[in-house]
Amino acid sequence: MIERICSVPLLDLAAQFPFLGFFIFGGVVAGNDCVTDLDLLIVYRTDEQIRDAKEALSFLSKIVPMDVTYMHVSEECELNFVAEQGAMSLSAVWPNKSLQVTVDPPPTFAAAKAGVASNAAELRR
Amino acid sequence: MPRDDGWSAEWCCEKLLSHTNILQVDAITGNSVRLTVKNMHEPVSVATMSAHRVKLNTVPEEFHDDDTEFLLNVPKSAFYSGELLEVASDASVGVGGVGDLYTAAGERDFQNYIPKEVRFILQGLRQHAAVRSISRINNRTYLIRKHSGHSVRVLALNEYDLTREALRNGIDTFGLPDFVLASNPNCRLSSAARDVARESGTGVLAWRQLLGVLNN
Repeated sequence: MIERICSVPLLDLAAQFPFLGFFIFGGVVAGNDCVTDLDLLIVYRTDEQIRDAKEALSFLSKIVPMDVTYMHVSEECELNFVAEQGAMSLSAVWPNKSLQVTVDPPPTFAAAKAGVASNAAELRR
Repeated sequence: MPRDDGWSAEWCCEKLLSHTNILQVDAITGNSVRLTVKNMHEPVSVATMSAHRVKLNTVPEEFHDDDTEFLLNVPKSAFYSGELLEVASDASVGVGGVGDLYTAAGERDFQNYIPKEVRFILQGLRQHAAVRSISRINNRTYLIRKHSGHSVRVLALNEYDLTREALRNGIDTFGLPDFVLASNPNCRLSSAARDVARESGTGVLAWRQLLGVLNN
């Protein structure tokens, strides 16, 4: 149900904020049967970048329980979150929901994202 | 005036059935449902709402119904005022989000539901020799009164990865505390978050560090 409600709005949001990195992790990526909330990671470079995105997500989170983690690019590097959590980019999780989306996360994540995406089938099991 | 979250009961009808312990969900009003729960003889009445800040004057009127056992709020990580938590506790009404309701269903006790993290913190602090009493300012902030006469405000943040934005957001939402407790035992604190804490005039402590600080 969570995916049905929020996949398209989130992909739209990612398209609206192409300078942010949007990643999904946790139950949805693991393919759990009963997911209580959506775990979303947003990676940013400047505080200004997330201000408007936070407002849009605040509205969406009134309809869908979401756990949003905002991580500065330096924190993601320090904590190695994407790789350790098996986080996947939105377009990798929901590839068929929209043809318009061109999510372009910061180059720092490109390697991690590619690595994780290549293991997508395994992570979904 | 109708509430803008009058859809929340219908939302629950679809969402809650995905859990194995919830056998049936019937919407009673726009802000209340009745649950049939596995291994519970009587149906459970639940008031429903959707707000980022939950206070006593913003809950749906169904919260005050005699048979209501739980207040379900859709957003995760919402703010709940201390006054609401106290009234709910006195009236034996559990409070929380979807995950909390599922846990209560598993425990087959909605009325006395308290999150495991809160139970742990309250129990640990009550057993501390220097602590006279504890009250909850909101769902994340504890006011600890010590035998010495001093009081300490502690904000418990349960994030696995405590980032600077999580810390800023915690302080903005729940108020600036004397100390931030990293209540997740596996918490990883980023360097940037540590800097934000320092700049804000507070500090981040692990559980054992907090117990030590209370001795001072």
